[in-house]
Amino acid sequence: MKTVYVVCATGIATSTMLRLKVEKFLEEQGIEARVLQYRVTEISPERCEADVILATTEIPPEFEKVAAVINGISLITGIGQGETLQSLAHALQRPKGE
Amino acid sequence: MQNTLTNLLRTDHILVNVNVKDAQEAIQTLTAALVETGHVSPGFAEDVWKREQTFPTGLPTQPLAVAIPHADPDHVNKSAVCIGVLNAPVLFAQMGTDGSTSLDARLIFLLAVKEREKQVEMIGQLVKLIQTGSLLEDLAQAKDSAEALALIHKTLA
Repeated sequence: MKTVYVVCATGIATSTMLRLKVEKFLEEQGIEARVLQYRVTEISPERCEADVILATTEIPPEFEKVAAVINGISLITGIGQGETLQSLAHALQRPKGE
Repeated sequence: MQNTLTNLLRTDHILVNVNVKDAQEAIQTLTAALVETGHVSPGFAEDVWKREQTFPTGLPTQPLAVAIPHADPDHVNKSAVCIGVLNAPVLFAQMGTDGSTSLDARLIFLLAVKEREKQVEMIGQLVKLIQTGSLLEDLAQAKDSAEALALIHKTLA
């Protein structure tokens, strides 16, 4: 199953906001994926199981080699939300490793 | 349903006509309202300000920018949200940036979260508020806390 990490600085507020939006979107679209919530200091590129990392904080560039990294701030402001969700869907439909 | 924003918000946690000179003073002023009611201890303001400088919380919402400063629960006794409506906006660095991009935040939502999983619904409702542009505009014009609270309840209903 595909995996989405929702990531923010403290793992409390904005990653929860992302989680709610992403879970709702995946359900509406019928996309099966697990959504895991982390604070940015808890993840590392060596042990990254995510296909997509959706974040409200800066993610170190090394992660771009192991997952699609998407800025999730639009899901919180609502401005440009549709495009971000489309990028998420697109990234989840790609075969792993591409 | 106890942990909803609708249930958590109270008029003494909504400050209107707030005059502050910068983001740090805004955080201190809003924290003081939560200290007054015992929801956080005074150290919370320092935690929030420290975190704000590394991980900023300004958001380019429309038509008014907001900030949602928060911190780890160390100084939180009981979850709460304090809303500050500023008379004049103050600069907050934009979330997801290294602090080089700032925005003029007019509405501040200070979040004190004790246990994340119990506050999921509250956090979801908060997103609804900040994405409702007409509410942000109306809040900025609210004459008193009771009016602001009524506007919020109407939006969440």
